[in-house]
Amino acid sequence: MLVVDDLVVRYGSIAALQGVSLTVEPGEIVGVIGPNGAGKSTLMLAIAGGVPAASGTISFEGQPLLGVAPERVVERGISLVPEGRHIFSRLTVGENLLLGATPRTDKAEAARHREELLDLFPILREYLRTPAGRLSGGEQQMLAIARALLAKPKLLMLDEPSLGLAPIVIDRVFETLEELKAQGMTILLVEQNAARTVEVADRLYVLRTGVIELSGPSAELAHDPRFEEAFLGFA
Amino acid sequence: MLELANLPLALDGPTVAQNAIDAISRGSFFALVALGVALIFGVMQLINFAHGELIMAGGYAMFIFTSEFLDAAVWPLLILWTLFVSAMFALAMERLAFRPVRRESPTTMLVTSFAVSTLLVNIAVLVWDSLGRSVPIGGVVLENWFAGDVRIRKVDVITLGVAAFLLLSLTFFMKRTALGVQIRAASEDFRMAQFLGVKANRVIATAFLISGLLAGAVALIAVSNSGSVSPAMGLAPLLAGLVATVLGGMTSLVGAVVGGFVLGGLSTGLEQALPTDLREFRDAFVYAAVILILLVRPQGILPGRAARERV
Amino acid sequence: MRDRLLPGSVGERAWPLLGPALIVVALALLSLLGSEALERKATFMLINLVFVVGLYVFVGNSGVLSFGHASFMGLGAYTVAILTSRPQVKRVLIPDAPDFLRTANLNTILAILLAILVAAAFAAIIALPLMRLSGLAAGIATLAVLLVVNVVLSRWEALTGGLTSFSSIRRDVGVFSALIWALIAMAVAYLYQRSRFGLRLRGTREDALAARSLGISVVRERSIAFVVSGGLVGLSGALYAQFLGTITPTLFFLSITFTTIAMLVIGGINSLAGAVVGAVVISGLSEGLREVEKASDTKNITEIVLALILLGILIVRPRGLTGGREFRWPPFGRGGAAPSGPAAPTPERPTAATGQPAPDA
Repeated sequence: MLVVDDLVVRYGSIAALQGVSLTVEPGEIVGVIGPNGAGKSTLMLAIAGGVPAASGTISFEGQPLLGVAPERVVERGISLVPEGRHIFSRLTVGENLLLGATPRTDKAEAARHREELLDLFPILREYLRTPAGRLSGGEQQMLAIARALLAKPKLLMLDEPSLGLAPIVIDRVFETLEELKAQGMTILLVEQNAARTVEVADRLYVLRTGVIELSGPSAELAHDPRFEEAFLGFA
Repeated sequence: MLELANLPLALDGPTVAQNAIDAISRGSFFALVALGVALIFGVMQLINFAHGELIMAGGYAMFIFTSEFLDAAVWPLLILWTLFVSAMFALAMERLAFRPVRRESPTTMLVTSFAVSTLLVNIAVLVWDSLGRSVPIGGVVLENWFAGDVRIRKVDVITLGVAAFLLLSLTFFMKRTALGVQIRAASEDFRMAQFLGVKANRVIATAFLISGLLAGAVALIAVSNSGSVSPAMGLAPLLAGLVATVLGGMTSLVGAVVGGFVLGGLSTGLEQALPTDLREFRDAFVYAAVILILLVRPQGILPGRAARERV
Repeated sequence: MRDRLLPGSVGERAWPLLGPALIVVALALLSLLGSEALERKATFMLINLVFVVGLYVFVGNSGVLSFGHASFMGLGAYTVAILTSRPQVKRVLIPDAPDFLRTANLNTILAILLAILVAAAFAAIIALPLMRLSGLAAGIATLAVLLVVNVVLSRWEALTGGLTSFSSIRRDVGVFSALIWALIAMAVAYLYQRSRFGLRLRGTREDALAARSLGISVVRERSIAFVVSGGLVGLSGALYAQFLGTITPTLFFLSITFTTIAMLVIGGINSLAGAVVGAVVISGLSEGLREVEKASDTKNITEIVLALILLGILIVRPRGLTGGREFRWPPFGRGGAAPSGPAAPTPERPTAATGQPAPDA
């Protein structure tokens, strides 16, 4: 579904990604774990059209994705929940959700979808007319996920969804991911929280200083001594 | 010399009510300019110094209309024509000058706006020379009503009416339409808006269209007041509008309106409060007061998010 | 910045100053071959250059824009005008000024130094409040300063003569003295940017958070640059007054503000080379166009063509003609002189949303 091949991204003279290859198949959750500064966010941004690549290719459903503007990437069916959530704090929760449906033309269907999502995240329903900046961190994360889902993506990309949240809220976020997977959603998840990612992901990539160090099914990798070593190195 | 007093009106009645009317009238005028500036700053971090020339374009549109085509008595057509010309200039400006440098630093965009401003002013000088031309707008707007001792100029009522109508329609557009919500979202976090599928070109062009309409309205008000146009007519409103925008926190539209009224109040208030021999220094006191306000509230009265330094 | 920290030959290290200095000296000397009118154009170019170099010291190193520098120029100009004009002239022009100013008749050098001091002192006073503001608010607050100073210069008739021009100022600046002052200004700018103050301030421009974590005070570093910068721009005003012989407050208002900011941005905002190239190129273009305008008898065609050229340059080279880099040694070969090659890479941070408009289709 998503194929990243030998991707190189530079910021000035610094290579943030140095030839990263990765695939995501329909219906699976793929985790990318690695320490701070490994290039995880850059990978997400490159896929979403937020940063240009120096070389390599990205394709989605067989069509090239590299060089496509961010607003077109969403239309192609990839939604990004960026690190730090980036909800619009001065806009109401309802307006944030409305923005999520921007690429859709089926407005009636989108309204129904919105109701479904409000059932999934009932807390948001209570705050529809509240400025989103007043929500707690966990609520904002729910809003960011719901907003991304409203675009009806084929692939949902989440960048550090557990960052800065309380453990109990993190549980809720990961439960949500399980629910979405059960509904057949394909998810690319970037996390520093390796332990939780191993539990939820089908396959894992370990990214460190711009290079994929290890990859494989979560069940196998979890028992791989190299993974344990790398994993303990930054857990 | 640029003087705030020459913008919307002069004063005579010393009463509080009179001053309040003047302050509100002047404030709403500044608010309309500030809104146009803040809208563009919000969506693309551009301080558009050429916004004044959109006002000038509207002014000359009125001049052409009244001298070449029709009489000012056909006022609904005059209003539409003025708004149309300012809006077209705004769209052309965006497409030809600002879109090519949109990804560059705010400074580069700013200097682009200087160049656009200089270009338009000098084209106006070339065509109509640098002196003012009078616009026969008709006597109706210069008439007064009296409520006891308070003199109410019809032009003030028109100013307030136009400002109120525009503010309400803009509020409705920004709050109730998808495009309006997209513009507000883009002002807060442009990249994120794009990640959600908001189209940069469309949002920015719409913001320019609206700022052009606002500039056209400002031209209507300014020319109705002064009865004349000149190539430099946009400069004084622009400077006042810019300062009001900063007072309001740069990207907050509500803030821009509040900033406009604060500036209107300051300017009217100081005019009354200063002793006679200092009155000619009034604008110096107004701007000094603005600096003081910024010191107390560095992010403006109502800070907008993008104006905060990303540290 | 890395370039300057690396060891190199003296020529290599001094080239960012020597390169621009050679250009300026060559142009000034060339003008001597021409008519007196050409000499005057060269002198005016050098005065602009002093302003732009001064502006660069603050704007280029701090990354904060200022619309207020024309007020330093005005202060410098009026200081020189008041201190050097003959007492007989002042008795007519500013009869109400305090006696010690009315009778003052200083020599040129002393008056210029005092003008620099006055401008720098004013910069220091307004830096106290302004530099505490964030970058953007500080920029517009400087616009408010410009408006205040303009009102004061225009209305304080006892001291400035108000809107009437202050004429009969001793005309004591020619191409030679302007050249020497321009070289001094460039040397000051170069020494400042190489000093630890300059390096620290550039650090705050690149990454304010990191600089702060190293104990660098953004407010203090910006203030120091503002004062140095204010002094240099005050110098340009002092020269301007003695070049023209007649000044009015409108000379030190928006037109010069726009022109000098445009020069700096067109040259390349982040380097001394950019400041010099911008001032030279735009002054040259502008004076050349003015000749065409005179010859062809079409009014204000200069401004129109110049604005179009500016727009063209901004679209083709948005980071300025030098791309914000210094001249390198050797000037040819190995990447060539700075004005060629791609613009310097700007560090972008891999955060998702920075509020900056991003590329689109």
